Amino acid sequence: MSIDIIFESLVGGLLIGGVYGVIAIGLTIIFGILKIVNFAHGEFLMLGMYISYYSCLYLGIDPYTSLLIVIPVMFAIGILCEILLIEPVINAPQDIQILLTFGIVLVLQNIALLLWTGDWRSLTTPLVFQITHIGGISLKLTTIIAFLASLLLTFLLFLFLKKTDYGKAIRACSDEREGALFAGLKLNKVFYLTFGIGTVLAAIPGALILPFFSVSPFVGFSFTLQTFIIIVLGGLGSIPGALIGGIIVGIGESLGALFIPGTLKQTVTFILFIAIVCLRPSGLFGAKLRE
Amino acid sequence: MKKRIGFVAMAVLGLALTISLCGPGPGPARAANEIKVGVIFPLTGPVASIGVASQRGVVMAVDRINQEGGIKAMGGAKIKLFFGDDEAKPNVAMTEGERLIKQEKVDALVGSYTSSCSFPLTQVAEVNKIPIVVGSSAKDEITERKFKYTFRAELKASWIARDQVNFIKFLAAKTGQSIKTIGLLHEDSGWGQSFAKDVVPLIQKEGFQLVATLPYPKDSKDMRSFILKLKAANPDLVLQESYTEDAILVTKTMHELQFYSKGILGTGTGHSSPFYHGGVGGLDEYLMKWESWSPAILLQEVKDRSKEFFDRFKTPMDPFSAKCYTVAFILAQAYEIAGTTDKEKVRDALRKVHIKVGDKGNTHLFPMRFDGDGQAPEAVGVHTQVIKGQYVVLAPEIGATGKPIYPAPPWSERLKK
Repeated sequence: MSIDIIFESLVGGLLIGGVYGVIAIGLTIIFGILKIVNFAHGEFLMLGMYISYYSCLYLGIDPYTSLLIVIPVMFAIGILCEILLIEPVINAPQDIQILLTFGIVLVLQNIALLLWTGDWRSLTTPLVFQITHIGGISLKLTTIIAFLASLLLTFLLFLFLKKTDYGKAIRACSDEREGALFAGLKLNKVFYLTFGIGTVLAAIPGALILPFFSVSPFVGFSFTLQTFIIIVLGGLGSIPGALIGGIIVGIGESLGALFIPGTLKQTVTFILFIAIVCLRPSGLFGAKLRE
Repeated sequence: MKKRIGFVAMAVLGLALTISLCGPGPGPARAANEIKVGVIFPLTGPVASIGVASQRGVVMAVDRINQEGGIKAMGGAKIKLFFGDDEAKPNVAMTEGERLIKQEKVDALVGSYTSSCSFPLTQVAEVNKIPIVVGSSAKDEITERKFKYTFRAELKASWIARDQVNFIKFLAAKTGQSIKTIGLLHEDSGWGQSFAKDVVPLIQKEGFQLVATLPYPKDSKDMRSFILKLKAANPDLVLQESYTEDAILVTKTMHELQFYSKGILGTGTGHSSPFYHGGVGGLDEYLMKWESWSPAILLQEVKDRSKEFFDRFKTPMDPFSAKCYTVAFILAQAYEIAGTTDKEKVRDALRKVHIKVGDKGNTHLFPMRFDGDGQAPEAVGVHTQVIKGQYVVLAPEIGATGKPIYPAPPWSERLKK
């Protein structure tokens, strides 16, 4: 096992981990602020992928330009979901909320199946096949772009939450719900905004990963479990936690696959997860939203 | 007055209820001259695209059979299909089978796709003494239980390993090249594991050296580490077994890592799928693969039916639709021989079915007939290679349309993407 291979594997794991992290950020925000466990997060990713795919196919644009369509459409869908489906159960017991979001999973998967059939679809534009060489490692250009875009997105989100009024309102509602109410903040409008943002944060990575993953109605679910592990590992409600948790999982799986028989590679993720949660039960970056 | 109306109403209701209870039981009444066939495939879930393709094969065949006069030995009886969706889940396959048998009262069954579903489904059929013809499920044990009502128009999974190793020998002989080392890359679900279990001893028995054995989790999002290991082992030939999504990912990763392999030999499902070929945009040039069927087979029946399938469903015929198209014809011939829907007679008739290569209804390069265990003994697959973006049939030689190219040129010399 040469050092070159280990390094290649490490870099690959880092890049994909960044994307996992961004997917996790959307979920952790929704949980941190709305206190809702959203099982449908992976399905919003899937929708983002499909919207991006068809935009690329019919408009001849690249996935990054397609974000101009994906973002507003998914934001609208997110807000609609919140108003029609989530709001009624926002104060209900958690098992009701779980049932609801699970129902959303089934509905979205089957709508996708109806609209676009169960066939696997992949992008095959020239961009998809471009390889760059950095430091002796071959990497897909689109993987690098996805990673950098993920970092940028995280940074923009951080600025949004720290500096803008809307961002501060969101943080206020998370940290101190009743106090925010007393201060005159319209709680439900904040929730709409948050769910919309969370949905968009699931959909954007969808467009970013489209060049290297195929899309089908059921692709979301395979991400969901992993995303839950990441947000617990990183600390529920913590944005840096989600990003770093994602990177840990990405690298863990990648290196794990090198040293352990392939089938067991996920044990690395789970062992890391158990170890971290045993040492810090509230995850790497603390219990409540601390932004 | 009110009381009187109430009493009359109750009486009328009671009468209506009694009459309806005396009528036909649950399930639609059988039309006079009709054969009811239950068709169970995974129409939803992760392998939905294959399930739908399989179902379409049956539908297209039955439409043709009915249009051409139905089952003549039964006065032109038409076949009526009843569909079930097993979601690729064994317990659902069983309940769907029970439903079609007990409620819809089907005379025969066709299905399913995944072996994990066909295995219990055939059990349900056997218990209820319903003839069932299985298409694409390859698990050996399906025809090793001394069942009387199960018939499988496909080879056994363990034969695929045999086909592959024979092909590697054929490849070396035909091209005059030396092939000594093999790298095995396969997904780790039930099918992948049983393939590995069959092929590894065969590879070693034939004197090849297995320099890498790489099982990977089927839903892996990242194949880099596996391909890096394969690259380090540098085998003369890569023997791969994947489903569609991972097959696409592996090929793209091989390109990304500039892993040049002199030859890649794929096995079944993933590489057969048109979404694989379409999804890798030319990266599969020179890829060789085994599949149970190929649209490149130059039989007139294949050419005509492929066109018909494409015109009707706007997607090319694939091994699953082709197989299930033939399965429907197998059942139809059984009804012609039996002349009745009586299940025991149909079972006996299935043992007499013989559709030769090139005959109407046979889309494959082997004759459709069954031995005492319900297995098609001459079942064999097809080996093809992608040359200039087209599939060329390499084996069985009876259907060959070209010669194999091995070793493949390195990436730098190929059609660049």
